Amino acid sequence: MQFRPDADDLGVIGFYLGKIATGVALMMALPVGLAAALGEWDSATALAAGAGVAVAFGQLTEWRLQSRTELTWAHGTVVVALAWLLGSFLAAVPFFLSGHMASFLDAWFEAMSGLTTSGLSVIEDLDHLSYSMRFYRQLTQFVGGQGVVIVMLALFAAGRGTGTLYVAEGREERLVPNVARTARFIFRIALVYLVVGTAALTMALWVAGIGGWRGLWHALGLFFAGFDTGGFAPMSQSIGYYHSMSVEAVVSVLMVAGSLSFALHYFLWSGRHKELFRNLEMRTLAVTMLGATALAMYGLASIGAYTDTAGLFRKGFFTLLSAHSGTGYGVSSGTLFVTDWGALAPAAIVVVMAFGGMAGSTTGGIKAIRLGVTFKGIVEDIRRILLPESALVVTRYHSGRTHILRTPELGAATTIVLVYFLTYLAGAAVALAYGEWEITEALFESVSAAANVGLSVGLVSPDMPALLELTYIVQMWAGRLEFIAVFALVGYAIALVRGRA
Amino acid sequence: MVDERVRPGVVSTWRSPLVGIALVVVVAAGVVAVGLLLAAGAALFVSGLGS
Repeated sequence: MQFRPDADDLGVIGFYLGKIATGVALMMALPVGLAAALGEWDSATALAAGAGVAVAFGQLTEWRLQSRTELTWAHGTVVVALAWLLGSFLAAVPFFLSGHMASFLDAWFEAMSGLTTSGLSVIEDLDHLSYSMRFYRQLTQFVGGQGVVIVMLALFAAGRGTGTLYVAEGREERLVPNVARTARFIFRIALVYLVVGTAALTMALWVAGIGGWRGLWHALGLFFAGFDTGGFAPMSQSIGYYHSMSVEAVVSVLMVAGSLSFALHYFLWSGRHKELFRNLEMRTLAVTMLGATALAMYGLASIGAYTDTAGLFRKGFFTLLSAHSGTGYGVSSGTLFVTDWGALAPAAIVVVMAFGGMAGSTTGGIKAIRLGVTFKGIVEDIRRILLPESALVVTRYHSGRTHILRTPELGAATTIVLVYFLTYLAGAAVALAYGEWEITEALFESVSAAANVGLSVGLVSPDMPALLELTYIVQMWAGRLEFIAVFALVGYAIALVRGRA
Repeated sequence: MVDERVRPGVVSTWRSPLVGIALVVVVAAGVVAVGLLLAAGAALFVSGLGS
C-alpha cells in the first residue's frame, strides 16, 4: 500500500509545474517580435494572449506554492508527466486563437503533436497561416525535441532533486555529472547544429529558388522540425513543396543527426570517434535500416510504383529514412502508401516507425538500444541452451562504455518493447471500431502517433472523430515519455484516492 | 546513470564540434549512398525481369 501524497507533495509538484508554464510562455513570446515586424497583428495578439495565460498560471502557481521540499523520484516523474499535458494545453492557446482550428481539441492535438515531435497535423489551410504563427508551430518542435523540462533546466537554475525531472523525461545519460550542465550541453549541441544546419538549408533553398528572408524563414522552420525529428513543415506539401534535391539532401543529414543520441554527439565532439562503430545502437540501426530499405526498394520496384532509380530513391528511400528517424517529412501524399505502394514498402515503413532511432535522441518509438538488448538477450538464451549447464554465459554490449547484460536491464527493455506494441495495437483498435478504415491504415496511423513520427495515410484530419483524436493525443504523450512517467502518474493518482494516510 | 569516465570540460576547442558534425555528415552520406545503391539495384532487378 502506498502512502497518500500530502499537501507538501502536491505543493512541490505544482511549484515545478509553474516553472514549466513560465518556460512555455517564453516559447510563445519569442515569435511575437516576428509577428510585429511583419505586421501580423492578429497573430501577435494570439501569441501574446497565450504567453499571458501561461505566465499568469506559472507565476501564480510559483507564488502560491513556494516550496523548499526536495523533489523525490515520485515527484519528478509526476511533474514530467503533467508538464507535457499542461505545456501542450497552454501551447494550444495561440493555435486556437489563430482561426485555423475547428476546435480547442484540434489546437491541443496540434500542440501535443508539435511538442512531442510527432508531426501529425489537423490544422486547416496551413499555407495561408501567418508567417509568425507557422514559425511558432515549427518552434514547438525544437523546444519539445530538446525536452520541455530540459529547456527549463537549461534556462533556469536547477534546484536540488531536479535530476529526477531529467531522467523522467526519457534522458538516461548525464553527459557531465551535473544535470544543469548536461542540459546546457544538450542545448549547446542543438544551437551549433542550428547555425550550421540553417546555413546549409538557406543555401539549398537559394539553389531551389527561394532566397531572401523567406529562404531564411523556411530554413529555420525546416531545421527545427528536421533536427528534432518533428516533421512539421512550413508548407502543407511538406518537403515535396520544394522539388529540390539539395533541400532533400540537407534534410536527410539533419534527420540522421537528429536520430543519433545526444550522448553519441557528445562522444564525437569529445574525440571518442570509435563509438560510432562500437555502439550497439549504431549497429542495430545499420541492420534495421539496411533490411528495411532492401525490402521497401524491392516492394516498390516489383509492383511498378517506381521503376527508375530516381523515383525509388527520392520517394521511397527518403520516406523510409524519414520514418526510421521518426521525423515524418514527406515527399509524396500519404494516401499513396495505401493506394499505390503495395504491401511490402508500407509494411517496412510501419516496422521502422515502430522501431525509431537511438535512446536519448529526439526520436520516438521503441529505440535501438531496447531492440539491440532484446536481441542480445535472445542470443544469450540460445547459447545457454547449447552450452554445458556448468558454462558461465556472459553477454557484453557497448553503449558509451562496455556493459554486461543483466536480467533487470533485459527485463526493463523487453517490458517497454511489449508496452509499445500493445499501445500500437490499442490505437489501431480504436480506429478500427469506427469501421471506416482497413487494419493496415489503422495500424499505420497508430504507430505513427505512438512512435512520434508524423507520416499519415489520412486518418488524421480536421474532421476526425473526437475519441480517435484523444486516443492519438494520449499515444503521442505516452510514447514521448516512454510510458514510465505516465505509469507513475496513474499510480500517484490511485495513491491520492486509496493510499494510506 | 553517470559515466564516470566522462569529465566536464573535455569539449574545449572549436574544432571538436566541427569534427563531430563532419563525422555525422559522413554517416548520413553513407546511409544515403546505401539507399541509392539499393534503389539502383531494385531498378536494375525490375528492368532485368521485364526484358
